[in-house]
Amino acid sequence: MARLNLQSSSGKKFGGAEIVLALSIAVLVVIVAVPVFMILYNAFTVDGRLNIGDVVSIIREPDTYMALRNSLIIALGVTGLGTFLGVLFSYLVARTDLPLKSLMKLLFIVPFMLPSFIGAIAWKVLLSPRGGYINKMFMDLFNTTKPLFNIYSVAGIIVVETMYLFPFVFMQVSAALERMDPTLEESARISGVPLGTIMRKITFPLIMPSIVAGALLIALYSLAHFGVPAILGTEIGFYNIPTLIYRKIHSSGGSFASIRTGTVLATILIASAALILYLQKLVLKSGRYSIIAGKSMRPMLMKLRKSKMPILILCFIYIFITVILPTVTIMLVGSLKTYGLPFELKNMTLRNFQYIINWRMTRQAVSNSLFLSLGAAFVTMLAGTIISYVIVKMKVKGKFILEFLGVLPFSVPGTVIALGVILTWSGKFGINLYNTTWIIFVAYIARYMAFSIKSNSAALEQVHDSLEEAARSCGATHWQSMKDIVLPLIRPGMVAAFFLILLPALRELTTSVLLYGPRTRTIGVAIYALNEDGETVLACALATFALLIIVFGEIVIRRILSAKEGGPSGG
Amino acid sequence: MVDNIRLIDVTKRFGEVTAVNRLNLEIKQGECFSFLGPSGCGKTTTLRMLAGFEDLDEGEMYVGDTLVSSSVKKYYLPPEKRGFGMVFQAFAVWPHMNVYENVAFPLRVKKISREEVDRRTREALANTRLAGLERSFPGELSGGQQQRIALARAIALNPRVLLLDEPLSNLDPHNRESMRFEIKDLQRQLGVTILFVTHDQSEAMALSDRMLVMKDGVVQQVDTPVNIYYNPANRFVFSFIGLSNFVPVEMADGKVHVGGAKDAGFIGKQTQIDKSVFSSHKAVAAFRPSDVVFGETGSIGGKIVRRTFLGELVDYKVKVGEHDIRVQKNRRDVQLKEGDTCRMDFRRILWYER
Repeated sequence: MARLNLQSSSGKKFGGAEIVLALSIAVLVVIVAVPVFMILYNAFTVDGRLNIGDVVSIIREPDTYMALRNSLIIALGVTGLGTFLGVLFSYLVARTDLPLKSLMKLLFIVPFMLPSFIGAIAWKVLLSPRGGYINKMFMDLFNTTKPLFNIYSVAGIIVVETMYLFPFVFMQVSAALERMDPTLEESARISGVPLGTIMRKITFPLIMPSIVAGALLIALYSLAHFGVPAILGTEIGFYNIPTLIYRKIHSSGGSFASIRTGTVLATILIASAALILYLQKLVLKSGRYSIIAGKSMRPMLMKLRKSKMPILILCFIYIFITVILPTVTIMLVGSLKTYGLPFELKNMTLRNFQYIINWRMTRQAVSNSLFLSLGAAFVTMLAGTIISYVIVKMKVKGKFILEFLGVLPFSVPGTVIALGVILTWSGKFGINLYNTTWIIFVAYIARYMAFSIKSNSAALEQVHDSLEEAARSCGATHWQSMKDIVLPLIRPGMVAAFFLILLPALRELTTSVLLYGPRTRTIGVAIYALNEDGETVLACALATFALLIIVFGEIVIRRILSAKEGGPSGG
Repeated sequence: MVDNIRLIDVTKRFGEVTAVNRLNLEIKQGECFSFLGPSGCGKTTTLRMLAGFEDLDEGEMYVGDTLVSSSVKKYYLPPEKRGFGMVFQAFAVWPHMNVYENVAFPLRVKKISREEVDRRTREALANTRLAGLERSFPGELSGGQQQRIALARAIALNPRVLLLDEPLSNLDPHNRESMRFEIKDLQRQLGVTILFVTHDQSEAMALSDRMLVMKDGVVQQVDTPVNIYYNPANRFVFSFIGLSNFVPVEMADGKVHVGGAKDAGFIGKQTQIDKSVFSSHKAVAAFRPSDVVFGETGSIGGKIVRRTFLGELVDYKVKVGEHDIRVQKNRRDVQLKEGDTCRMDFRRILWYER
């Protein structure tokens, strides 16, 4: 549709720019702004009138109050632990002579690619108080009835979430340490300052903004995280905000009261997310020292000497526990004849996988997920390209609205989007998508639009204005210069956006779990529901499939993204 | 014992590349010594090895009688124990500390009384003309001021040796000029040994008592600036230091003329000719643009094809046969215009093989 508008733009006075702008704003308003508005509107009004009293009384209900408290406790715990681990590992990788560093760097980011709710299922299998394999082994070995560790606990939830979220800090801080000018540390060293003091007084203060920025990202995700608490907390009646919203809506079949409670809780999520993002912006702004090296030099590396091997082994143990153990557990449990049997060859079978492949429900889930993620990735990529083009390249009034709407989804957690989409697309405005795949489709577009805009804008900013101007001055029309100059140059950014949406969408759970109907399960929902129904073996078998698809997808995206390096440039 | 710095057979390799090749050198206490060469010649690597940031692949380094680096003994005194001061190209002032803290921080780490730290900090700030800016943060200051902080921080420690790694190359030309003289004055006042890395020859000439010219990790010449300028050890040094002409010449009947331009005349008798470098009657004559003398009786004829006004100096491009000769003269001394013919003599010519 953009193509038509741009073509018609060349001659007429009310040009294509305004039409494209208006259309982009319309898309963002319908997809992103209306759902968010609907949540706020429903939270604060009853029958069209402002009603704050209800909001207060909903918050004071014991289970909503507890959910708020629990979300906060988990977020604090995960942020603290994740930041500690992220800083520790990034320092080891970037600033010591630890062997196999590039491998370690890759391995520490792997948890990021794995869906945390599948990890939670693995840990349930290993460490549930009675049936957990490790706990059973421990109790048999020491002849006790006390389990080694109960994963159904606040501590359990915090530890499992941390495993999957710490890469936020790890990546931020590694990047800062690598970019930092090594002479800032060297000048302290030659002045006689001992290494420990340099670390405390020079290095850490300088990378503090990156640490805080990463920590806030962990807090943002953990606060609104559904998967892990849903699998490990529900068992013991422990709810955080997203899982409580899910329970309320699910158990009441979508009643008005439950949706209203949901909107109030969702409003709190929106507010805290906005606060976190605001804080992050402040921190990054205040801490923008120019610590970036002028010429590339190898930074000074701390010699680990005798502790080199022990630390390396500890790192491998950490990676084994957080990545390999859960993945292998999922695969092994997926091949068990019955859940609970010991892992022996005679108890293994491939029948579960066969069953999954032939079962209508799982087939449908896989095809739904493929359709949804491919479709949403494609549509979102295209829409994001056009919107970014308007934001970055066009000189039209009113594009600040786009900029605001474009970053809005960053602060809207998946649960909130689901709720907003329900409120918007259940017939209130004449379109009822409830219980169809399309409601999930719309939700995915809203959820991943920010990814697309970010990736496309970055690519567009690399294309200097003069390249397009040169084409125009040679007589190319606006549309020709865009098609022949801009699009080829930003294609890598578009491809990146496509995959940045495709992969998380394939394993999405938080949003879909609130939106699925009898025939519209996604892979995530199917795994989650199977696990809830006690079909742990089948859940693991399907999860194995999911992991294979994800690993395959990650390898493909890495190939494509590394091939594009040295791609877009200009000016 | 004087704290002379001695480098013995120092070699450093990065993979296939030999960055520094068997460097032997002695630098006297109190000397201002510079390493000069094109980028990638190994001068910064040498300084970093001396500072203790790089290990050696071969050789040893001593300061006085103290061994500081040895590849054989696998012994490296850590940088923080060498008692050096160092100033980096990118300033490396700590952006989260103010000017006073930047200078005082290394002193505070040592076991020095509070009053002593304060006294030495203020003295160093006064010596670098930073007094009054104590509470400012580096981000608020100019490049020249930031580099003064780095200098103050280094001298506050009363180091035996001051290492400067291209300290002026991030400054604008005006600041560079004045900082150059400030460093020279400071060195005289404090009597500290200064080792100085630069790719700017005028900087090296202005500052050093002696200098070392390096190329591809190999020392070309170690001498005073005057000797290096007038008696370059080889063609590379001659071309690297100062402006230079390299003109192909040919010998005919024991007399030398510009290649392919016998008609233009023979180079005058007063110039000594080194016949040993001629092979099949061919060689290269090298001379400075300022060593050309215009005059009615000059031995070589040419034509002015370009005249460029540079201020005090005027730059001429003179065509002799196929070759261009660059000449620089004081603006008051010569009144030649573009298109004029001229005759030239040469005050001093160095002869190299073609």
